[in-house]
Amino acid sequence: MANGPLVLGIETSCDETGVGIVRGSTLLADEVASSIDEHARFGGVVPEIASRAHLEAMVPTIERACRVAKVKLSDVDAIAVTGGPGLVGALLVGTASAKALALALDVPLFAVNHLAGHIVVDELEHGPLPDSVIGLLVSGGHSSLIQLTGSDFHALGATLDDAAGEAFDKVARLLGLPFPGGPWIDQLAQSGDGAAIAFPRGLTSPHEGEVNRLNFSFSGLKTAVARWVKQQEQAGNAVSIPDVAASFQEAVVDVLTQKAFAACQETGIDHLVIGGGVAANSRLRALALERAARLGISVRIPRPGLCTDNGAMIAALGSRLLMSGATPSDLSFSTTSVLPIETVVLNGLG
Amino acid sequence: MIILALDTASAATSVALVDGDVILNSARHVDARRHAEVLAPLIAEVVAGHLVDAVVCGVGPGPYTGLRVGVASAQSLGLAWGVPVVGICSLDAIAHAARAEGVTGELIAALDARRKEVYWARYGAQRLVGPFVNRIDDLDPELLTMQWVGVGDEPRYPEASSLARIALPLLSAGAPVADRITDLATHGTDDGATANQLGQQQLLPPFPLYVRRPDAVAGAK
Ligand SMILES: [Zn+2]
Repeated sequence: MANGPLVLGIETSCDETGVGIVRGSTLLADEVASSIDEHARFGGVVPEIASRAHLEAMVPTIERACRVAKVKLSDVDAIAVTGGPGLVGALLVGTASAKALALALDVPLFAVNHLAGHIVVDELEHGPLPDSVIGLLVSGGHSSLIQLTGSDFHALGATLDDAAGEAFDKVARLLGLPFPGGPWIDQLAQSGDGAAIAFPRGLTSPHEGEVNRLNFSFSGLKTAVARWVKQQEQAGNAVSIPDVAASFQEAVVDVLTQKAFAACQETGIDHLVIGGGVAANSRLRALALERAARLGISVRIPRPGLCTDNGAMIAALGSRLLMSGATPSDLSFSTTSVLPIETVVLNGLG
Repeated sequence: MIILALDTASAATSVALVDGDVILNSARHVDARRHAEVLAPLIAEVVAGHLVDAVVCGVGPGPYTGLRVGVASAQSLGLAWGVPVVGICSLDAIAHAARAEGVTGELIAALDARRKEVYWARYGAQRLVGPFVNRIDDLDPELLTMQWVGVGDEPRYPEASSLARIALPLLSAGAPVADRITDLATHGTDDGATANQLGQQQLLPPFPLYVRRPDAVAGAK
């Protein structure tokens, strides 16, 4: 039977209200309420709508998670919550609830780094992480390469402009597809040719220099797709949407995997974890596994439900911190829209 | 009945623990941008080991981010302690405090809504109309000649102890909590909006009185 501390995790950094419950590194519940439908007509997440929806969903989602996990709130040993990065108004709903729960239940509170949660969540599915891993985080909000060694997280690279998921959304809009665009492009690309159009691979040329070796840039790619579509239309050529989708997707996942494996080779770490909403992309999963096999690197990708934002990843990180004896957060901590990965737990200033 | 009351609808974060007529503990901190940092430590200090029978929160109207911090906290405290949580219009607390200080006659209780607007409601023996949000310039000049409390040179903020005093007799008498007026409570309208349909009902569900639509905040054209 599973043992370890019972930890409840709350995630409200964007548009998903997530509440997860773990015992040790065993997942007991992972409940998510999404407000994505309310944002669709705006073509992106509207912060005030997200914040309102979080408050509506917060208590019902906590209650549902407790029911599914078959635990009482009073049995919880610690509360974990996303402290950043994310939309501040959205984060505040989760952190206010978490502070109140920790205070009322008299248990420790861990306000944690969302990005670290995306890596650690894989322990719930594939067991303990090796001592050193590279994390590739790709979603609508982030594109980052992170090194985890022991309990230290270290940033290796990040996007200079658009996040990978943002590029998917923008190209989807350009092609007349609904928001969020990722799943639509993935699906259309199945019937297209990924080699049909040679879209640019940002920051991959040999002249790129040291600084951006492990950084990403996707805004040029988005512009190239727009220009290509316009040129074809002006020339009176029929545009094959599946070919555009597949070629765009190929460019993104080619860059993501190239850089992720470059990070592995540079650091001598032969374990890669991929997380974030874009990790649900079927071509990214396939290409990563194919290249990993050639390089002798092991790749771990949680199932899609654990890749997108969820409370389980926050609970998993909280549980790991509690078991390692980390210092909990003070009730006076501030949430923050920008949080370097090196800060895994937020502490109060006072 | 021991009531924990809190309000974050204004620049102040106000917390009080009240037992009947007696204020057991209270604390307040004025900083419009630090509700999220100061609220939980103030609650911990004020509760100080007491067992709480009910949680009352000011539901505004108020600038959203800070207001939501208070409401989310109240909801989660009630959930964890297994006690009821109710909302009171924060303007009612201002009017209640003014009456307690001897202000008589009709009055307007108001709070700064930013963007040159005010949240306001009109009071006789009880709330007569409101809450509304309007630009001060757009208000009926007759209203401006009335007694205003809340905004002004010396702003008066909702006190949690007033919220508790309004709620106590209603909770003791088992007064019903108003139905969610979903459209108004959650979205409001964006043209000098109103939550007036709340009428004189005083025990509200613990959700913010937004009074403005969410996209009115995002866009503002
Ligand atoms: Zn994320």
